[in-house]
Amino acid sequence: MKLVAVTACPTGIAHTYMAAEQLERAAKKMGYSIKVETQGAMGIENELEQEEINRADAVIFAVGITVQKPERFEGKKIFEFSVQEAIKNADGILQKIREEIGG
Amino acid sequence: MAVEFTFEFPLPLGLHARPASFIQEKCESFPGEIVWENLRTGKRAEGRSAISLLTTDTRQGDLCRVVVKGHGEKEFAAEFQSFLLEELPVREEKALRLEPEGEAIIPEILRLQKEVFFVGYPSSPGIAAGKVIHARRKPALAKLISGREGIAGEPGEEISRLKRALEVLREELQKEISEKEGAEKNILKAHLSLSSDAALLSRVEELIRKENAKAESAVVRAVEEFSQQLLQTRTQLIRERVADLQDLALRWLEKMGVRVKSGEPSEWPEQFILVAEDLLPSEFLSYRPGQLLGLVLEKAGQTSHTLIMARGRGIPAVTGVCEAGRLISTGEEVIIDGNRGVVVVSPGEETQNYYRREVEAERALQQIRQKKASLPGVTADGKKIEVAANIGHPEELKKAWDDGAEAVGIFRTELLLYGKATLPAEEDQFVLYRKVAEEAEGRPIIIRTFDIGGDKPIPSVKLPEEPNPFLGYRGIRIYKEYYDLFRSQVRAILRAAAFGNLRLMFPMVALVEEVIWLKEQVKKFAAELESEGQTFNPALEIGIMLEIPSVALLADKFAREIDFFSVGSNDLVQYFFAADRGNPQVKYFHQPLNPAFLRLLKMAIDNAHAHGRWVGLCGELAGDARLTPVFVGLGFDELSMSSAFIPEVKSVLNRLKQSDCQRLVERAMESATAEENEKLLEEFYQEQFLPELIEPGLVSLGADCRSKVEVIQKLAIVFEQSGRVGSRAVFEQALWKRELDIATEIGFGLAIPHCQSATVRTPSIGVMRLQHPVDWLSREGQPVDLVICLAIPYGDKVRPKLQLLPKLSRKLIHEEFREALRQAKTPEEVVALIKSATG
Repeated sequence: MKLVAVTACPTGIAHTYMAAEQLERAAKKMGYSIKVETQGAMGIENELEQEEINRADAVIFAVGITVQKPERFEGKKIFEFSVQEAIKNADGILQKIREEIGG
Repeated sequence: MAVEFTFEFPLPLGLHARPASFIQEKCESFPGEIVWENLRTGKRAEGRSAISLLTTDTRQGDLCRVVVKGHGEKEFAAEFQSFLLEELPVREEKALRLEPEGEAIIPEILRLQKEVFFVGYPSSPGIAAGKVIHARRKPALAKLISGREGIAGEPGEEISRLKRALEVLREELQKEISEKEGAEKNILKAHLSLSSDAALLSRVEELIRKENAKAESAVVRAVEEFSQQLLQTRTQLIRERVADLQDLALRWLEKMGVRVKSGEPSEWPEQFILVAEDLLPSEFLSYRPGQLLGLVLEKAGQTSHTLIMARGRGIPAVTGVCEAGRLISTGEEVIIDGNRGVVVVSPGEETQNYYRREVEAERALQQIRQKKASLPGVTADGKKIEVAANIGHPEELKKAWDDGAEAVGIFRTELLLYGKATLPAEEDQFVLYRKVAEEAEGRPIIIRTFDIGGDKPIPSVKLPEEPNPFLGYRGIRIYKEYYDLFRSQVRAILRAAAFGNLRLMFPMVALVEEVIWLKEQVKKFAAELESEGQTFNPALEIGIMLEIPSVALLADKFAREIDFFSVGSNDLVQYFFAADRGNPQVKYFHQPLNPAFLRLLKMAIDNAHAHGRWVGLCGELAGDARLTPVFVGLGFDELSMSSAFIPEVKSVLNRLKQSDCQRLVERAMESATAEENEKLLEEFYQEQFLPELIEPGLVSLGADCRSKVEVIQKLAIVFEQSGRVGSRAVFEQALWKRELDIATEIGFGLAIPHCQSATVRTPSIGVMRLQHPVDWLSREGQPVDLVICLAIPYGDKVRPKLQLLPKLSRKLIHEEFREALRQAKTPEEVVALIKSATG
């Protein structure tokens, strides 16, 4: 399964990156490919290309604020969680996505 | 029959005095019965009684039921409902907009502990706790009628006496309302609406009928009963209503023939906190040293001379506390937080502990300050800048030297005149100035001659009242009329100058011809002394204040006549921007970093230097260490300030290079706004002082903290002590702001409090390992024993360092890393771990 994700939180120096790290770790463990874009105090990093989004089986938003450049994700199936949830239970998030879209 | 409706109470501040009186007013238009019930608190009230409405303790979102009964109930119920949900919120919003925005910082503990507190401007730093004394005291109600309880007449007679008095009072109030404006008008309106409060009136009558009370004592008893009830809700807005109620009762009693006069000042305690509307310098000086613990003033304004003196003496002050005199009672215990601009009334134990820790932190900072005080006044590249103290009284000299002053940049002699009925004789002044000269042991002392007028009225010099005293008859402008005063002072200074390094300075000079006149007089006085055979020093340096823009523009011409200039920044800023420094509504114009102001100073200093004259700065601004690079860059030769600021200014000065500061000022003069220059200055700091992200001092292993409040407070204290944040109060507030968005507890016993704030000087990481896990007040409520604090400033310059923080955040997800942090034996080990994670 191919996943893309965006993480973002109000200050954008801690939780944004922790959530990213957790999602990457959980995906690796389950054998999925994932690319996580962070929208933090340094702006957008590891930005998702339109092509990558198009190819993805699912989009994960782990955010506490509004996502920037949302038009890129139009028509995609988006799973939205809080940043906290991604940090505390990334495994559960991926589990849930697998159940919903199969794979 | 009755009609009822239920609704959610819409106002953000809850049901407090103002909306309650609006509701009462509305209900008075309906002849029937209106009952208000708060379904959360279960308390009921009568719609026509603002007081009883307040006792329902209604907050935003509370479900309330209103029952309307009587003729036309259906129509009124509909009307009332739309009033509550539509009109009331609009009126409230309007009223709130009128209240000035404070700059106060409210520490989170006050909200968590539900303390009663008042907010104002932080005007003199420090923390003080003690009992309150009012500068002008109001009599206690019960005292007024003691001995007048007597035997009541016929209840009917008492009641009609009561009502007649009320009628007279209401007429009087209506007349006053038509004459007044603004806040005063609103207070009077509140009094008027109280005077027809149904619950209050019926209680007073009940006391007369059932208990045979005299009208006077029935009023006092009823008012005391309601006051007690209202105070129990512990909502500060309700205190306003209690004060109104007491005011009203006073006037009511007066109308019934009770003599209402100010209470006698009984025995005042050894030490106290003074609450006053405003305080004249003379009143301030009338208190013994050590007697005054702190000041709460209703009037605002950072630069009044009373406050300057308070800062000089280390007495904390909060100003602009609206109606403090009415709302805080004599004898109440309060804590004044002069760092944040908050006054806490009857603080609970947790809050007292919090402030004990704050006081300790102040003490520790003090020690750090002392080290800085002993530094020389010189930049890193060897440019000497004399760091001096401003004093108002010879008593302050010792503190000045202790704080590291190398000179006295201004001795404001007019403060000697306050509270004195007669003018001092030449001989008395000579003895005093000589003492100062000798005590200085060779250090230079600038004595500024009397600056009377403006905001500094003194009893012994009767100046005419004028509409605009700051632009009027003051400073040297009165010397021709008060020639003897001028003569005796200059003669005393000339004589004292034989005993030490005294310099003479004149205030409020605007024209070159004034200087010429002044110098002629000095020459004349010297000749007199010569012929009298007195010892004196004719060669002392003579300078002028640079506080009027004309002097700045013509500095080259003035430079031919005098030895030095000293910029009085407060007055210069106020004259330059045409904005009264004491008026909170135009406070915004106090913009020392405005490029126009910088250009003015630069031009004046360059012209003075070109003629071999030196220029000092003796205004309040000199004490702001943040601005020191600007003053160095402008070319000031001397900086004189409240001595409390000297250590920090010296410490910054020692790390600056003159050439860097000059470049900064060149750029700042090309900006268009003060705001741009704030940013420039911020960036400058980042470039100049670039420490590492973490140091052992920021690591605490085994911290003994009992609550989240304490952890965050300690982090703020440690960051401030390391010099990484300017103000721990601001930093603490920023951390809490982030916590209130969503608590930063992330599981694994780990919390990552963090913030981006202008008070942070450089990106920093703090680590705290707790002895006892604490509740982080998060939704999941997992206890926390490991705290990593991330602090970042604003500005692009910090970007490279900022990029290191995400690396650390990512690393913290990994258990091995957290475990290593938990096992580390020394702060140095933790520092190494963090560095490896961010490297």
